[in-house]
Amino acid sequence: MALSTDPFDATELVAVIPEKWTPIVNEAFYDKTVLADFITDLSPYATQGGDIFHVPDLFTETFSASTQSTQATEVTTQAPATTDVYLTIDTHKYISYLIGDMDLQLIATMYDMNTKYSKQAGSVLATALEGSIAALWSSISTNTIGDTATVLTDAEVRQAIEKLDSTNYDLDECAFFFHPYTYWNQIFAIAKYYTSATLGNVNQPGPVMTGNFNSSASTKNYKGALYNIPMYTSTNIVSALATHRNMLLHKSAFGMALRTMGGNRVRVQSQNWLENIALLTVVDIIYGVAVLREPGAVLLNSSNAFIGS
Amino acid sequence: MEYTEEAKESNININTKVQELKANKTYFYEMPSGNIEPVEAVEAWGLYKKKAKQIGCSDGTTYRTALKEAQQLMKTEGIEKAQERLRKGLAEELEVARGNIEIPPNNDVFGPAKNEFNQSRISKMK
Repeated sequence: MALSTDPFDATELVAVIPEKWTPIVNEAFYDKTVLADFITDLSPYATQGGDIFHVPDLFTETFSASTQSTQATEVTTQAPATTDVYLTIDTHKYISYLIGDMDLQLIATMYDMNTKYSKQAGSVLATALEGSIAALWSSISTNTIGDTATVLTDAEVRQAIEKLDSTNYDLDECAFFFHPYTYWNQIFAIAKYYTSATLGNVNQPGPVMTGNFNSSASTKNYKGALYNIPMYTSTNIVSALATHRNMLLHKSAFGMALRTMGGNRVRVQSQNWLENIALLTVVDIIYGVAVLREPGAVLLNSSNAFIGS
Repeated sequence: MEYTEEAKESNININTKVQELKANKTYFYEMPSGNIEPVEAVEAWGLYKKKAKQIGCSDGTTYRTALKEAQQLMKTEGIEKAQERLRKGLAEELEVARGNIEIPPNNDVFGPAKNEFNQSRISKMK
């Protein structure tokens, strides 16, 4: 025989069952800064002002060796033309938001919303800078590899390296920048990169086990080295009509200059704004990006219509 | 083991994930190389500011149709036909776009006043 036919249920106890707000907040994720950390940074030259920064090109026109056909005759001098290449600081982006004083007081104290949102705003602006650098792919015309309808292949990776090696770029000063789609779905599908016959040191775990190519800092999007050239992934690598614009860059290929006030890449300012009885926060960044040495960049097109398996 | 001079069957599959192949508004610009290339809105704004020559813009649906057809071709006729269809699809999208000149949305300012992009969802907090 049942003790009771009418036990309490959640509906009847609703007034005493609390809801809890946890201190955990699921914040938006943003990609790491990899391009801005790699390319030529002209920011130190911007600290005293100025909007245009020249980096003269002495490589397009160079000396050529002359031969003196008759000894003791007058030498022929050479004066190869220089080319003016410059970067302009022309971009000022900001994010602003306003939180009323009452709302600010009513938000649970465990949530430091202003800090969290200013951090998020900073990440959005850092992403904007990365995106501007990645968008420089459209200026690459000398070295383009791959097709908008094909996956990235090992042959294309080697062709890209060869383009820079054949023009005397120091490969120690180069790096690959791949979209994660290309990295995981296409590079990792190249059997040569993970089969034991070609893996190299058998005492080290291979890329299938580690998810990278012997990287010491995979959390910073450094995925190790491919043919001894550092490899980074970035979601800021540009895509349109199912084509990713991956790049192999020499560090002199692209340049940037930041002139954000305060000395950091991103400036955060908050102020009690009396007119609105609110806290106003403005996060901003001032920068310019440019191609400084176009032949030092290789564009690696890859179609994301395909997956290597 | 049988030896053959022929290339092995390609280990390439078609990407069927819709979110990666969705149709996006596409702007065609003439690049410094002379090639006409497709770009999306954020990048198009940068090219617009550099006074690059816009060829036109389209909604990306023509290329998406080509992607869907390429998926079928991949199953029935192999990768080369699928790739051929994609290349043709790119040319078709360009023809749809050609002459339809449109200024890309301003990507220089985030925040409540210029709320063109999703990145500015942060501004919803008021």
